[in-house]
Amino acid sequence: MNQVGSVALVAALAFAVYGVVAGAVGGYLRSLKTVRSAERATLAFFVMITVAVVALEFLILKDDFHSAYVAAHSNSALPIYYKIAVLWAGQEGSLLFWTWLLSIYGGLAVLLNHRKNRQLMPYVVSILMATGTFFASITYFVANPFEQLSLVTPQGMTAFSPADGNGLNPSLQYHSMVIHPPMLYLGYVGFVVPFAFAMAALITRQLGDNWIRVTRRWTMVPWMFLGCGILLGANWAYYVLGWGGYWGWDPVENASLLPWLAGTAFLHSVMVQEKRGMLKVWNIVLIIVTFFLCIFGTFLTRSGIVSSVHAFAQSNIGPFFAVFMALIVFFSLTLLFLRLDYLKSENKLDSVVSRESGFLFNNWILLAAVFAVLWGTIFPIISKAIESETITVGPPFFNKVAVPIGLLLLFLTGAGPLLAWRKTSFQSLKRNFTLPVILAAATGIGTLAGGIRGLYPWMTFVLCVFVAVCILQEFYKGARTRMRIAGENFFRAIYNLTMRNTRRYGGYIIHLGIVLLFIGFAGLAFKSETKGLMQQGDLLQVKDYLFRCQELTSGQNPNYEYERAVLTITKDGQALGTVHPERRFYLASQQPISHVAIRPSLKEDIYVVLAGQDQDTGKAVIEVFINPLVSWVWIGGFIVFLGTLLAMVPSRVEREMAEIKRPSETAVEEKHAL
Amino acid sequence: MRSRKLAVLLLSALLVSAAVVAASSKPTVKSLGDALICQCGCNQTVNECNHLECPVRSQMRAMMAKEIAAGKGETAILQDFVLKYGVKVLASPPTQGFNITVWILPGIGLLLGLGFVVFIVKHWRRPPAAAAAAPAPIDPKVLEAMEEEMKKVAHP
Amino acid sequence: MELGITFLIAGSLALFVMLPLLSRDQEGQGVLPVDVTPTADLKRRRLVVYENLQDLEFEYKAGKIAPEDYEALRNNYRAEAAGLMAASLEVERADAGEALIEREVAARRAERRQPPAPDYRCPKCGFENPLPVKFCGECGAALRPAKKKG
Repeated sequence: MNQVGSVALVAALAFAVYGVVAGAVGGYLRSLKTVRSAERATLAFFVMITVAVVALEFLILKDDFHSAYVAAHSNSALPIYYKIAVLWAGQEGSLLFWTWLLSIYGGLAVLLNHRKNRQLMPYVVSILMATGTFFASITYFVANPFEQLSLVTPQGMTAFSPADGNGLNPSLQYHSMVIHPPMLYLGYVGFVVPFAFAMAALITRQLGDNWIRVTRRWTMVPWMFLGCGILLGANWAYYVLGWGGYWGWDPVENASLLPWLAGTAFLHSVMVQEKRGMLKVWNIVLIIVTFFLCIFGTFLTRSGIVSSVHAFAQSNIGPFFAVFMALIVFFSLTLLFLRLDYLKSENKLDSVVSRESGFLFNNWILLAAVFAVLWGTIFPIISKAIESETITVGPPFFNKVAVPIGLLLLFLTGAGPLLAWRKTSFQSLKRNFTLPVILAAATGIGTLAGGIRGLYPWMTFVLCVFVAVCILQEFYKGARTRMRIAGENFFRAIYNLTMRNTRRYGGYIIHLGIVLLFIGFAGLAFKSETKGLMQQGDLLQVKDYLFRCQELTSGQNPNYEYERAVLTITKDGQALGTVHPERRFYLASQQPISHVAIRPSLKEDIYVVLAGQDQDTGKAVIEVFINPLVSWVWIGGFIVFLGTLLAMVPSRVEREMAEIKRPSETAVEEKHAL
Repeated sequence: MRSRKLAVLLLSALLVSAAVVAASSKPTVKSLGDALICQCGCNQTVNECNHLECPVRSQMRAMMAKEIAAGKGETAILQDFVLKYGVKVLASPPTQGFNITVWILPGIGLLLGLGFVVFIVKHWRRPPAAAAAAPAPIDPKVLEAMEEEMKKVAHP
Repeated sequence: MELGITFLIAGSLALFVMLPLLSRDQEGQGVLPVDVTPTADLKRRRLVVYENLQDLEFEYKAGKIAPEDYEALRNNYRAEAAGLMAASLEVERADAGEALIEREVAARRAERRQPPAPDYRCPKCGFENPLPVKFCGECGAALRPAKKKG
C-alpha cells in the first residue's frame, strides 16, 4: 500500500504538470481539444490523489506501524473515528489532505464551469494545477506520508515495525477535532478557485464583472468553511485546553484569521464592482492578498518559524513555501500591472456619504486588522533577525490593537448597509439612524446606571444594540412596505423580501450573527476564576453556585487512564445537575490531559477543571470558571453560517442574468462535452 | 440641537467609564498572569498554560503572589520578572527600542489606510457641477426599448 | 496486486486525458467560443441598473430615502441605463451592418467561383493575361500556373 500511495502521487504529479502546460498551450493556441484534455487532467489529478488518500487511510486503519506516518500518529487502541482523523493529524498526511481538497475544488470548478467559461477555463486549469503541482511535489518529495521505518544495522538497512504507534496527540482526541481541520482546510484551499479565475481574467483581458459573478459562490463557500473552522477551533480550545478561554491569539489561530478577514473585505468590495463598476483593480488585489494569506497561513503552521501550541513539528518545507509564495506575488502583481489599462473604473463617486464609500471604509478597517494581526504575528521573527532578542507578542498586544479595530468594524456593520448607493443626504441619514441611535444611547445609559465595569464591554454592548436595531429596522421597514404595496401578511412579506434579494438579507443575518459574536466576546471581560481543594463531601461556593464533591473515582480503558471528580451544583437550593471533570493519561503517547466539564447556559457557562491533586493534603484541585455569555459566540457563529447559506441562494437578478444566452452554450458545446 | 446634546452626553459617559477603568488597575495574580508568558515552553500566558500541573507556572504564580503581598506595583513586578527570565517573559513587547515598532506600526498602518481612502474618495468624486447638471434628454427610441425591457423584469 | 490496479487506473486516466488530442475533429479547432458577447454584457449591466432602480424605488417607498435624493438618483440611474441601451442598439446596428457585408461578400465569392476564373495575373507587373500563357505578355516574366484553391 505504501507503494500504491507513492505511485498514485507520482501519477497525480504528472497529471498536474500536464494540466499546467496543456491549459496554457490550449488557451494560447485557442485549441479546444487541447483545453479539453487539460480539463480532463484535473479530473485525473483528483482520482490519483484520491487513490493516495485511500491508500493512507488503509494503512492507518490497518495499524500498519511499519509506515512511519502511522507509527508516529496512530495507535491500535484509538477509536475508529479518530483513526480516520489521523490523516490530517501530522505534517505529511495533512499536506496530502490539503492536496486532496485542492483536487476536489479543482475538479468541481472544471465540471461546473467548463461549458460557461470557455475563454477562462484553460488558464483556470493551468493555475489550479500549478498549485496542485506544488502541493503534490511537496507531499511526494519533501514530506512523503508513505515512507517506511527502517533500522540501520551492521547488515545494512532492515525493515522495522514497532509493536504499537505513538498515538494521536491526546489534545487532538476531541470530537470537534475530527471536523475542525477539514473545515479549516476547505477554507484555506478553496480561495484558490476565485484566485485562479481572477488570474485567468487578467490573462484573457476579460476584466468585466464576469469573473466576479462566476466566483461569488466559490468565494462564499471557502469563506464560510474558514469561519466554521476558526470557530470550531475556538470551541476545541475552550473544551480541551482547560484555561477557560477560546481564543489565545496564537500564531496559528492568527494565521487562519488573516485570510478570513481579507476574504471578508473581498466579499464586500466585489459588490461595488457588480453594482457600480468600480474598484476593479482593488478587487484583484484583494483576492491576491487573500490567496497569498491562505498559503502564508499554511506556511506559518508548518514551517516551524513561529512557536505555537498548534504548530506541526519543525520541518524543512519552509523554503519551498517561501519560493512558492514569492512566485505567487511576482506572477500575480506583474500580470495585474500589465493589465492596468483594462481595469478602468466605469463610474465616479457621487458623494462621500454613500454605500460605496461605506465599503471603502469597511475595506480599510478589515485590511488594517489584517495588517495589525499579521505584523504582531511575524514581529518576533523580525525582532529576532534584527535585534537577535527573543520576544513574545501575545494576547495583551492583540487585545489592545484588535479591540478598537473590532469596535469600529462593528459600528460599520450596522451603519454601512443603511447608507444608500451613490448618495445619502442628511435627511435620509436622519430617517434611518434616529431609532438605532436613541436605543443605543438608552442602552448606554441603562448599562452605566446598572454599574457596568470597563469601557470596551460597555461600548460593545452599546454598538451591538445600535447594529441590531439598524438591521431589524431594515427587515421591519422592508416588510411593512411590502405589506402595503403587495398586501402580503407580515411573514409572507419577510419571506418575499428576503428571497428577492437573498444576498442583501442573508448579509443582514450574517451581520446579526456578528453582533451575537461580539456580545459573546464582551462577556470575556466579566469572567471569574476560583480554585478550591476538595474531597468527598466538601463544598465550594463560587458566586451563586454551590459545588458539592460527591466522589472522586478513577479507572482505565484501552486508550487512557482517568481520574474523575463527580460534583453536583446547586443554586439557591435548586439542583442544577452533575458535572464530571476528568484528568486522563493517554497510554500510547504517555501524555496527561485534562477533560473539562462545562455546563453551558445562555447567561454564563460553568466551566470546571480537575486540575490535579494537592501535594500536601491529597485533595483534588478544582478550578471553576464562570464565563458569561460564551454561548453567544457559538450561537452567533451558527447564525453567520445560516446567513451565508441564505446569501448563496440565487436572487432574482441572478436568475434573470442566467437567462441571457451565452453563445458558448449553444452551438459547439453539445459536441464538446467533457 | 437634540442630537448635539446627545453626542455630548455620550462622550461624557465615555470619558467617565474610561476614568473608572483606569482607576481600578491594581495588580492581581490573574492580571499579571495575562501579562506574562509561562516559561515552561508552552508559549502561552501564565493563565493560559495548559501544561498540567506545570511546575514553572506555579513557581511564577508564587512569585507574583509574593511580590503583590510585598506591595509592589505592576511595573515593578514585571521588571523583576524580566530580570529573572529575560524580555521574552513579557506577553507583549516593551515599548522601547526597536520593539516600539510593533506598537506603532499598526497605528501608522491604520492612519495611512485612512489617508489612502480619503484620497481615493476625493480623487474619484464626480465634480459636483456635473452631478448636479440635469441629465441629457434620452433618445425616444432608446427610451422605448428601455421601458419595455424594464417592464419585463419588474416584479413587486 | 494493488500496485497493478493502481497502474491500471493511472494508465486508463492517461488515455482519458489524451483522447481529446487524438480526435480528428477539426470543428473545435481555433474557436474557443466567446463567453460574453458585447450584447450580453450590456444586457447584464442593464439588468443591474434596473435592479438598482427597483431597489431605490422600494427604499423610497419604505421611507428610507429623502424625496430629493430619490429624484436625483432615479434620474442618474435612468441615464445610466439609457446609455447602456443606446450602446446596445449601436452594437446591434453594427452587427446588422456587419451581417450585410458578410452576405455581400459571400454572394460575390459565389459569383466568382462560378466560372473557375483562370488566374494569369503577372506577379511582377500585375498585368492580367487574358490567355493561358507561361510568360507574361506585358513584361515577359515567368508565370506559374495558378493552383486551384481548396
